[in-house]
Amino acid sequence: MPSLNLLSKRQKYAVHLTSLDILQEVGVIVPYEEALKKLEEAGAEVDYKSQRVLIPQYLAEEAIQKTPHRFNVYHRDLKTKKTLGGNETHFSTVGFATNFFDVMSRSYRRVTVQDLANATKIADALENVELQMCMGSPMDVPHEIVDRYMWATAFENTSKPIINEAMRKEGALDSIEMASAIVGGLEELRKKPIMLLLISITSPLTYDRATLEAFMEACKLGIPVFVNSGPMAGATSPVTLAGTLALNMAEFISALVIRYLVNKNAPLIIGSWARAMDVREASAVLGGPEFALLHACVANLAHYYGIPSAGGGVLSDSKSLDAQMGYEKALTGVLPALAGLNLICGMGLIASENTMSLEGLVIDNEIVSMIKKIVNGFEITDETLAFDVIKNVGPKGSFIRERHTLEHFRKEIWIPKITNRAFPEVWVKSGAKDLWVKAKEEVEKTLKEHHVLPLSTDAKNKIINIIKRREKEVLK
Amino acid sequence: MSAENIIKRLKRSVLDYNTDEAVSAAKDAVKLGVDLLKVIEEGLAKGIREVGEKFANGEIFLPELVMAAETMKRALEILEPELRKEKRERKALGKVLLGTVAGDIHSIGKTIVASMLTANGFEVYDIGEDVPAEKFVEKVKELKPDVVGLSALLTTTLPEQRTVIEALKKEGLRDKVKVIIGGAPASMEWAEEIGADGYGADAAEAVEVVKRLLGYSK
Repeated sequence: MPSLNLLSKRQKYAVHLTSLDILQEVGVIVPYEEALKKLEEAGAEVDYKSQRVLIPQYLAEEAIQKTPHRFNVYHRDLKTKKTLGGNETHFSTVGFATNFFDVMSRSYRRVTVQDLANATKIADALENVELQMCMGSPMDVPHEIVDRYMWATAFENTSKPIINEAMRKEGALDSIEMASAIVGGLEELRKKPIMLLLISITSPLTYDRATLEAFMEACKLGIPVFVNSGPMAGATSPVTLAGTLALNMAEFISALVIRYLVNKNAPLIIGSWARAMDVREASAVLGGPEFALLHACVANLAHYYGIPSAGGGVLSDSKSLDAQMGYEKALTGVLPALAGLNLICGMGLIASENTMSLEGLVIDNEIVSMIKKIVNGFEITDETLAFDVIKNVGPKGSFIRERHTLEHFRKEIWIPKITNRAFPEVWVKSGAKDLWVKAKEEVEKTLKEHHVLPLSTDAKNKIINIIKRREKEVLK
Repeated sequence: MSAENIIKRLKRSVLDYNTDEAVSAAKDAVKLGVDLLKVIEEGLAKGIREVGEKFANGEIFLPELVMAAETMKRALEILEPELRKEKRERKALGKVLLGTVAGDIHSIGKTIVASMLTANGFEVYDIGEDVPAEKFVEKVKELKPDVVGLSALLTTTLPEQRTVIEALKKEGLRDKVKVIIGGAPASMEWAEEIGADGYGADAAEAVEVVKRLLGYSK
């Protein structure tokens, strides 16, 4: 149960009022006629020339209230489901690295389709990856249709629900066509979606046309949308975290309004990447304390609104699998998790989401396992308070042979998979290995041994045909 | 009920950590007059070896290992007196006597070493905590173990390990047993200094050391 509240009720209300003021007095840029028309009909003040839309309070409030509190996404088997929203917290990989980190040589190179396939397969095997955002944006395929290769690679190498971007309306439709081919039709996909379409708002307060096309198409068809917005404090939003939060939420509310006007049944989850700018490097900070704080607050506000929430977490700016990676990932993961963010995305990537690391992914699985244990807490009952056991063992006794120990230890005590807790001498004798060495062993074992639920030949062929069709267009 | 059935029940009881069932199967074995050595070896010993393998593979954990060893011990408490009446003895890999030295009441590490040794086929006698040197001497005379293990968790009780070794020497017993030491403040250097035969940094190492000292491995 989420219990951590960083904002009081009065503070949430203050942020909320500011978000409403931003929408009503500053507005958003919506460069898509179809959207502008719908917004104007609903009562927004639209300037067709500048494509700027001022959204009245009542419309914003109505859209917030009418957003579905939660929805389900499915594995390809159509049996396993994950609920996004309410009191659940899930973890996902994060997206779109263009680099790959080779831990042995400590070097970086461009991501390939094969890298993405390997990472996706490993994430399929890791029990704490619950959804999969496509980790890499491969550089060895035609760039114009890279999203199609990403969807295809993801569907083939995992049965877990996929989050991915799509390019324009055609990209969205292609991805939906692929998913429909897998589940047996669009109607089935609507009932049991195995995908979320990720769209991004550009801070401050700006959509681009391609995004709006994909967004509205997905809403029309009732396919879940993941709305990403990541204002950067000091650069694309006020340097104050409060102002960044208000702006971030205003952007999300504008998306809730568009969703509401397109299809009242369409599922949507907001996904915050609100962050600070590093004031030395001018880079976006994804492993900093602001990142953790902002997403815990987004979770608090989303619960206040009763809408599903996601965001970045378990992320790091480190360029290697080092101590910096460990503390940044742990802290940006645990805080939003305690605050009840419904979906935390960050596994698999390092270097500020720029770089994929297979060993890092295995380490992330361990970090998330530890976070889950912390968030789940422990039960207090007569059985767990164990007075009778304490009485029975008595002073000077030992609990190790007690049946109570045998019966409860697996639930009470977190059992790590790769964390090293050996005595120093034993560690030295066995080669004084750092964590990544153990992680690398897991990577190799998983790639060799793990079997992904196969796609049907029919679905596979349909997906290949979609890609071939687009390749012809691009390569002519 | 056949001997086969008893063997199955004893093995199952160890794998299920079911002490009640182990005791009941052991009693049935005695009542039926089956070959007790056979039921120990093919039931209990096979079961505990399987548990040891599962532990080494990371499938099960200490509380399970300890409870499996405890289950075996309960059954043996019934079977061994009967064996002695028949003037027979079970064939273990070796006999190990374990105790925590005088002034030290810590038991967990020793309990774990005892369970690991049991799971690896050794016959283990755990004589408890806060054990004075004279008691070690007396028990070595009585039980004639192949190895004596001395546990100490405190820096202040560590010197007691030397005291026990000296006492064994004085009684002319030192060359009859191998002595191993363990515990957080112990070390290989300390083992050499006080003239112990071996040292294990953790329970798995303790097993390796015992195996090596008794010639089962290099």
